[in-house]
Amino acid sequence: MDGLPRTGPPNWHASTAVLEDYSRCGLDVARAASVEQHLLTCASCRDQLARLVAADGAAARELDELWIDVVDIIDRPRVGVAGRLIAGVGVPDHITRVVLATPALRLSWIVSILLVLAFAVGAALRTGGNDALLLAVAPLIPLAGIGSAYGAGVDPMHELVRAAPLPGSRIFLLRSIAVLVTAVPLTVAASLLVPGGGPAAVAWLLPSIGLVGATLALSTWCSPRTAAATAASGWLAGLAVVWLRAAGSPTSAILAAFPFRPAGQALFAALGGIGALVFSLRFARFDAPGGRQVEVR
Amino acid sequence: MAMVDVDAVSKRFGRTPVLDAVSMRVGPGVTGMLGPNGAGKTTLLRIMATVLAPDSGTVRFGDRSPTSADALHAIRRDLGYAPQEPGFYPDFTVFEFIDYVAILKELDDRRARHDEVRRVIGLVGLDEVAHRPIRKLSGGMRRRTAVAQALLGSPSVLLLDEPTAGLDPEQRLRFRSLLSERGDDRAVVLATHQTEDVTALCQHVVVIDHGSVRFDGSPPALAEAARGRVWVSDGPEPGAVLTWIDGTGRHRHIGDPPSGATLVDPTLEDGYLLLMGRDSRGERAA
Repeated sequence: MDGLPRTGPPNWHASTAVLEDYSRCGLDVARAASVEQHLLTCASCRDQLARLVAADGAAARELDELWIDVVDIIDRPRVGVAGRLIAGVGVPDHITRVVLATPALRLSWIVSILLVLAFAVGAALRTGGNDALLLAVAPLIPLAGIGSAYGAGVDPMHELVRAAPLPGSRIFLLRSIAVLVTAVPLTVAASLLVPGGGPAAVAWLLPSIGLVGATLALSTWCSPRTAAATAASGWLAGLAVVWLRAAGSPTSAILAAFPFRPAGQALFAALGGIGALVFSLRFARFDAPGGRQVEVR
Repeated sequence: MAMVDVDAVSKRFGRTPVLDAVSMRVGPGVTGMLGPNGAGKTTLLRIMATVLAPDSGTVRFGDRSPTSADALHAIRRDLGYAPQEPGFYPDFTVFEFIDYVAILKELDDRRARHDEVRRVIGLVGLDEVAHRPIRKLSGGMRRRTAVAQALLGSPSVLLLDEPTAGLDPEQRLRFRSLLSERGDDRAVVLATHQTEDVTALCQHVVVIDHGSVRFDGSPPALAEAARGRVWVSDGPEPGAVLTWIDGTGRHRHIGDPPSGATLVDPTLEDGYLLLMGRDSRGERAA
């Protein structure tokens, strides 16, 4: 081994030729590892290597690049399991960070969804497959997430978000999509656990889309939290009327209620589309300063 | 756009008037917005930061006015804002927090963004705690974190609300040095109730009280407003607007001096206190 004894007293040194090759990445893996091991204990060789690298512009640049890479890896923010999953489907790093900041992707949110769904499915199982509660509750789950995705009072950094150039409408939309991607599959899976439900078990899906559309549209006039609360209140009020006016079993009346019939399903699907359209026409409201008398065209 | 023109801006919260036709012009250099707590400084700064809309009046940033989405976007790209309470995600580290704000400022390229984050962390001297959760930082370190995010992208307009609150003397000195280096070609607005910061840093001072501008000029001019109105004595003076015992143990007074009083050179603080004391006296009389 040129200039590199396998073992030896601590006063041996690597030859200049070997250090030059090392600085240019010209050594094979075994030799490079051997030199690195020696450099850890030999200040004299480290100094000589530093001089060689400094004198060789290309090596110095390569070392700087390497060092920046190392620092960048050390500094890279933690993204957790959810972040890795999002990044895994090709979502850029900066969008992943924006999405992850929403409370809707935190573990506590997912646990809350699971608890609500477990309660609703449990009720359906106890009543022999009557999923009226599930149908009533399921559309509200995404609303809770969207209502807490953006705005003062739900985002501690909202003041900075408002002053930043990244459009608030974009942040809100990205987070709303993240909420839907999390909540809808879980709710569909829960619905399919109800025996004998069949396609009717997911009859909540189009009403849910309609309520999400209504929330998006309303949030261009008021905060997302108020918009979600308004949409949820409307939904619950409608079901309460059905419940109170039921001639027979109230749960049967809910199962046969308008939102779960074909015409109702079509109406809620249309509501979802109209809501998205209104949002797309008025999204600049998100980016306007808060308060009155400022029209953002 | 290192120029901000505030013209007749008014703002109410419910029935409470907070700003009453405030006008001021901020150019390159450091402007101190001085006033007691509740004077309206934070509201005015939030309006200047495009977080809040005025009820009436306008704010222009250079030749831009935040009346279209494109102009608003351009203004925000060139604006650094450190609110009094920035609101932190407590689990974020300093690096993660500033990196997140950098994303909000549309620095999308990760490598370039991380370089910029490291730069501003270095500017405020937080390198050693860059990876410490914000919840474990002292109040002073949190203030420096808030200031660091405002420096991202070297904006032309820097709006800082009480940036020196909670800083120890050494940190305050470092902060002053940092700002004085940045005040040459950009507009820095410093909302504070600390006259020392204004004396040390500002070329321009605007005094706000009860939502109105009480003074707009240079710090020496504010001090000069108290010339002939500040005197010292060995005992209290009932006719003074304000009296306190200074570091030498003598009584320092502001107001109308009695004949034969030992007049002293006024400081900016004297000018400010005279202005505030006179206003509060007028209010009491009314």
